[in-house]
Amino acid sequence: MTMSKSDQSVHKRSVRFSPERSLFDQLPAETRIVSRRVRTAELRTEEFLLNVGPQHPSTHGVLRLVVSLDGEVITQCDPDLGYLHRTFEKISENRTYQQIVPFTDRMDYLGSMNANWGVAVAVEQLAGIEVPERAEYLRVIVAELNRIASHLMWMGAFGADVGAVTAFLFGFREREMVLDMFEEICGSRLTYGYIRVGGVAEDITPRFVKLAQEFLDLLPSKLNEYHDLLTGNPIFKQRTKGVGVITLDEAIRYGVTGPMLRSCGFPWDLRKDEPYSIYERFDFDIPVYYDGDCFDRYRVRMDEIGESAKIVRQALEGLPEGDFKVKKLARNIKPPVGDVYVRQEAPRGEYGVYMESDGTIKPNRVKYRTPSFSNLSILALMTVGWKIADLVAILGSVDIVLGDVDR
Amino acid sequence: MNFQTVVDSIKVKFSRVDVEHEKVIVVPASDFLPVVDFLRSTLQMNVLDLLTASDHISENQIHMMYGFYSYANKTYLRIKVRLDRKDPAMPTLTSLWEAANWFEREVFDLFGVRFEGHPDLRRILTPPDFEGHGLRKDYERPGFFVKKPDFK
Repeated sequence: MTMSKSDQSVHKRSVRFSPERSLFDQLPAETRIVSRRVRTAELRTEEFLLNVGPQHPSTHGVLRLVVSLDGEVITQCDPDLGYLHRTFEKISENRTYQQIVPFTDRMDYLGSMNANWGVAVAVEQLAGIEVPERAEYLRVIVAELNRIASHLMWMGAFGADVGAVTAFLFGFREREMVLDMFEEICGSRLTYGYIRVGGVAEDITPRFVKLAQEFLDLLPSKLNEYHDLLTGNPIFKQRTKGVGVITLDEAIRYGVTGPMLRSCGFPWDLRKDEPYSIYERFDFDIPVYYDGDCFDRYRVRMDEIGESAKIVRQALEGLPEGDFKVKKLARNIKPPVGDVYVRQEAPRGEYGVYMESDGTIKPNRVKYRTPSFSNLSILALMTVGWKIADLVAILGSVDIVLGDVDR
Repeated sequence: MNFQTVVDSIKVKFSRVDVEHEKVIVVPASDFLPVVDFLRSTLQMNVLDLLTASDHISENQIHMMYGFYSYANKTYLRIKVRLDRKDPAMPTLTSLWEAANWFEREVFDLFGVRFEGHPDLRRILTPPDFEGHGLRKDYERPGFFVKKPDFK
């Protein structure tokens, strides 16, 4: 059989292209995008299977989405988790109670203070440890500052997701100030381990108070700047308003909590409705919006920044003198047999720690009920029917941290 | 409505329900779905907040732990179901709450509890070809370290 010139590829290797099989089909299976042809009676359309991630800047970590497309419209979205599964629940079973705390930093690494706090409270409730009042105030201060930092970071990332890169720089600029404060009190800028069983690691310094006052004084003008940049921005509105709508009923059935729930018209916040720690002493509001779309999720978080700042200001004013941690704490805590479930309002929603003690120095079981996991489960519902370009906006508006999802 | 009134109203209807401590009731597996239905319809517990398991290898049991919450009454109730460690199975709650879908997949993945009637019972955190169930107490990590040869 003689080879004609057209049968030779550019690499001078002899190949024959049969008329049925396209060049596309001859690519090795792992490099080609899988597509399945769907024949309708008259019009021939293709259902397109698109793989997003796991390494993709808009998935905020390592999340893989398998998206089915009909033209531009999403018909199905299947999140594939577990790329960041570091078995923290198993690790927690093999550590003493105090040793668990640093691992929780790595779960929700943007809201580490809240993650630490939940575990610390769970152990304290199991073992019956009473925390000094000053420690409670310090916990509230750092947790609310962390909420501000987390929301600022989210605002920046969400802005970048929908094409406003300036917001990214703005958000990081002010987040930096919060990180400086945390560096001052615990020496670390991302994984703090500051809130520990029986109190906090270190007392705050005068410089921390000065930095915090400066930050709180600066924040209102900066919030106005963000509102100028994003809230009134017609392009931003067009990308987010009415996009990815969920109803309150759907949100409750999927176990969605936090700002996503509050954007559906339900003013639910554990800090207000089931006050833990000393939150009932502070005067603050729960922002609520009613449309349940990406824009309202953005509005809720932006308003929460202001409310958190209010709490920090009040807590700094009312900060009592005293110990910042329990004076004498056993090296290895041995709580009595029992279980406890602690729920707190983390930046992303309800963060729960279920802890079971079997009377030894290690817990029998620790379960982290993380907000990102539950909030992400509604993604499949939220994205169906929207254009592929909206996927990134919708995913961004959920505010997931993949360390929090996979644990 | 506090915890005690909730428990009392359950106990009137279901005699085999025990109170473990001030937050948890223990329900036999056969009564589980009727109790949940009762919680949902009569006591307005409209949130499935927690769904997890724990391995009690000494008792040869797996304990399922469910957390239900009512936004209207602000009551939290945890339900514990004791299952046999060999081939544990529970009825699924996916028809009542979509939140149960991923929670149950996670428990299936890490504890090997089958949820009967679950529409999509796949592993969620570990890869599909993973063997065993990671959070069981007798799970052994496969050969990270090479076994020492047996010189005899």
